[in-house]
Amino acid sequence: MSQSLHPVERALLRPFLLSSDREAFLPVDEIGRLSGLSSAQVQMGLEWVKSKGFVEERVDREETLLRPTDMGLSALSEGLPEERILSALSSGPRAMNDLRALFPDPSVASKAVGALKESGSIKIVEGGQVIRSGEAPPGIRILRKILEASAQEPVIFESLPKEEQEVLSLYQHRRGKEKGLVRSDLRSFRSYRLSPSFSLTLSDLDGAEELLGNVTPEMLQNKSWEGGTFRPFSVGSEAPRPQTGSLHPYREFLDEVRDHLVRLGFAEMTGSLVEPEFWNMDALFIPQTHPARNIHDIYLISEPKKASDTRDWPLDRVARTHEGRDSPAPTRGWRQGFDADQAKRLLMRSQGTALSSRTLANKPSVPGKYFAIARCFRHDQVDATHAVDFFQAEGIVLEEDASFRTLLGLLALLAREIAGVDRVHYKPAYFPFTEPSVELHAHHRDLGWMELGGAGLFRPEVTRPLGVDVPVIAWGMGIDRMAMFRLGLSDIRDLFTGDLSVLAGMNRSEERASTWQRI
Amino acid sequence: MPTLEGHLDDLNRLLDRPLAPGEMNRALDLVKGEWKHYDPATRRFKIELNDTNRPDLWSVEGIARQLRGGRPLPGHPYDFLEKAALREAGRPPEISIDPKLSAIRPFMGGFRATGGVLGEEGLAQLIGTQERLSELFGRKRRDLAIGVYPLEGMVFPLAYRTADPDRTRFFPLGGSAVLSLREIVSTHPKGLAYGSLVSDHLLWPILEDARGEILSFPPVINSQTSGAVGANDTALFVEATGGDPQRILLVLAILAANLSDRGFSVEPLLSAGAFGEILAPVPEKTTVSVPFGTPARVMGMEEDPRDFIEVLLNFGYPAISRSGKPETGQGGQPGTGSYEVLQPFYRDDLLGAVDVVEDYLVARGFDTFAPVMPRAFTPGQAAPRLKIENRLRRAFLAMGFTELLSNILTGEPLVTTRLGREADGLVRIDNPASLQYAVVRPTLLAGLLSAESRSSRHPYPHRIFEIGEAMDLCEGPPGGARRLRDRFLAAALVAHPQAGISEVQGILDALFERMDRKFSVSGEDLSPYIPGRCGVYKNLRGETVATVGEVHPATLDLWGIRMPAVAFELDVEALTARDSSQDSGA
Repeated sequence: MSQSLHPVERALLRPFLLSSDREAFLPVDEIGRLSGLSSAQVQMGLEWVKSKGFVEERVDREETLLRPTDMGLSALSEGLPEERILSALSSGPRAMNDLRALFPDPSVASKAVGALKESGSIKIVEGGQVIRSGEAPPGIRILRKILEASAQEPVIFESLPKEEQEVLSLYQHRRGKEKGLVRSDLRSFRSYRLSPSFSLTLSDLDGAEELLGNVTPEMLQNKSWEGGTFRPFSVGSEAPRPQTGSLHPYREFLDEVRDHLVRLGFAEMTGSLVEPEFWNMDALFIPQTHPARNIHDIYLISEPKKASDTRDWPLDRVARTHEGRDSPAPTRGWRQGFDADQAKRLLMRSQGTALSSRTLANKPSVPGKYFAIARCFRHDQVDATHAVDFFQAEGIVLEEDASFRTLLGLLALLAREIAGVDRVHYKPAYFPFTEPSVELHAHHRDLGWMELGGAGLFRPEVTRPLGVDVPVIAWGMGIDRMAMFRLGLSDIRDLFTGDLSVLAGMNRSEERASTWQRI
Repeated sequence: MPTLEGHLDDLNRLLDRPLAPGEMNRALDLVKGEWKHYDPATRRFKIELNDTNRPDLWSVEGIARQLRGGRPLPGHPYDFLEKAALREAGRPPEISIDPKLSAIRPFMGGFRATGGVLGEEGLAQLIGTQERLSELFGRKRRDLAIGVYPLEGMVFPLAYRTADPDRTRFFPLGGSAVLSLREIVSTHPKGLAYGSLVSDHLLWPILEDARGEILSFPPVINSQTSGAVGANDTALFVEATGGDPQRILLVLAILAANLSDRGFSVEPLLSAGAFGEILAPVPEKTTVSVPFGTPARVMGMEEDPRDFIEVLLNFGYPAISRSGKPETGQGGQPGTGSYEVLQPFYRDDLLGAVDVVEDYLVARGFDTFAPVMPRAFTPGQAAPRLKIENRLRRAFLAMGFTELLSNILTGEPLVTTRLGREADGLVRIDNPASLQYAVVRPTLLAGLLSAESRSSRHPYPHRIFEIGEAMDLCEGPPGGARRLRDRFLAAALVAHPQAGISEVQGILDALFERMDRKFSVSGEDLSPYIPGRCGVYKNLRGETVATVGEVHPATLDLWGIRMPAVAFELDVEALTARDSSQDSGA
């Protein structure tokens, strides 16, 4: 048996045999010191001898290390939600709405108010006013103490007094481990001893005939292998893996979409992440009072607030169209004032169509096809279906005789080429910048009918002020959703995850994916 | 997008022919709606409506009306339009408007509806419609707000007038005591929500009846005395206030049509003030011209004028006439005239000819049109940037790197204090939804460090990279404001027990060689790297191409990373700038 031992295994077993008490467990660091092996060798060797049944393992102790999460760190500097509410109430009663306004996410306020109400720290009196009615709950004080300590160095959960442990467990149970202020990691300390069935002696380890190990260049050169015996290697055991890399599966998917579009004759448009409302909205005939232009739906820029160079903008023509001042009137317009100042406001691009309006104004080819796969930003609560920024694929087709029927043909083509589906349904839709407007629904063999995208013929109110007099087809597709099917994701945030294990999982599920027909 | 709830039996009572749940989704194509949810046990449904420009469809009555082709239900004609036309001249207005309201909330229109019964479903629809119209079409009551009252006990004429917010007191609906207008605004839930629409003014609007009884405080709340409308009410008064008489007339026309469909008889009322008169619910007649040939051009096939007219008449258009010369007869060439199309009284969404043509397509059904493939040949092309991006990505891949994709919006501390860098030059969001996403990333390093901090359980070594867009502020022209600068960056991070600067320098050199570039490197201290273990690569123009270094343990500690890490960041534009290729740094 000793013949098949690896030198690392021999070095590892030696300290156990030298030990005065064979029953005693040796801790891992002790084994490392006595064997002279590196810690990686010790780890690896222990796995081997354990799997061969030579040694027994014992978990001596486990500790839970506490560290603040990102949220915890910001709660440290800005105050816990409960603390902020109590301090806001120290100067008298406040309306619930005021309290909500303290936080970017109003649900944080609601949760904290709920907790404070439960502990009797606050009361809601008639008229919906909130007043302070007691001390801060002890849990909050304890939580702050733990946060402060763990921000310095990790705190060991088990070393905390019972009361604090309970408060923390309760808190994590309520908030969910991921969303809480404190993150916990388990660390375990193990030790080992020889198993009773282990029968080799020191001399067995030392006296074994030197068998041939790895094949080396020298061995081949001087033929020293001749007549020798090769030590058998454990072929069935787990082998070390090579370091591998991978391209991001979502980026790969986007590249495939891009390749399809290029093959279909589309040329790619790119642009800045920041657009003035003019190109993002006004040039697309989205009324200035449209809900999508509300400050709760777009991200405005702090500095500079407005575009300064508007020389190349057809500002006046667009304004006249919005106001319905053009005569003879091809459009009644929105019949409301047009604020050129609002048009200059800068925002994070909210739709890739901003690139299309710029292209139209910039002497596009006729016939011409253009597309963009653009990062867009939407002012939404971030959750499983809403990411703070995401990709949109869209395009335009300029053609002398483009029509509603060409639009339908193009959509069928995109559905087939990009999504690999043949059964489609065209549903009437509404977008402020196209008329007629169509939603493309495709039949997926597992998921049934799904919306793939939206499209339409640009309104003359869009094309004419930009100097285009041929019909223009515009289309857009929700590629994030298609990618999620393909990558087996149910949470859109995972497309942008930094967790390498999640990423590796995505790569694997892509291989398994039969979900979205071809793509 | 408005979503509405209703009861299947109620919807079917308003239709010519009852529809089964399975037929709904296709039927709703006519109103651009989606059958979102149906519970067979309660027979309740949810419909999502996509047309934000057709408020007439935001109710069960409106959907049913469109599905009936715009026709009134038997026995309940939309006769208020004729009644208004027959109103004798000189009859005094039923609502007087105080000229002092002109700077506050200048217009009010209203009508009476009698002789019907709402019932529970009708009441729920009325309240829901009022809510949707005020919130979405009226932009949270700013442009428009609607009040509905039981008519009983109300004495006409009514006065829409200004009032002193402190001395005017009444019992608000849903309140608990008589309050001044100002107290309502500071304590009542509706006051808190909508008070700010008028509270900047010295005087605030109220509506009172001929006895001086306060009916409401538009656009905030009705009075308790005038009461809430109930399912058994048979007589109602409906008003709308706002700044645009056209919108007021439109929503009142929609509500009048809805109530008429519920069996009410609508009586128009006149309101008069400094700005003139409003006879509600009678919107101005609007005609849209559709030049001959426009339908053909939009459809991509010949138009059949008779079919065009007939289909639209069956879709609710009250009248369509032809003017000018119709067909010239030569090969079906369209003539120079046009279809003159009268807009239905409950709609105001037709801006031009294409809107009418779209209704024709919708009414015929999109599936009746055969798709035609686009024929023109156009050369396709990916953005030039993509070529470089993909070359770099493949070079990283070949060296065993894993690609990451991070959000572009991030939290300010992640790209400042966590990197030991200044906040100067950051592009900030003025109205962030969350502090986690309050700035545009100026660097990709934070994304890599954040990934590293979350991946301690993933087997080491770690080699990760990202290529993508970033932004910062740079100096503008002398004396001018700072300008936004789009950046295109690539960054990489390596973490394992022996990670050191020479490893990443080697990687950088391999990348530069792949791109056929050479740059000179010089030691330069910069965060977040260990002083003396970092440096800068520059091109001949003196632009920074890359920064590289061993991440300082203090930084690693801030991120909770317990593994040595080295990193670099590349400016892809500076890397590929043409004249940099002759760099003689080596």
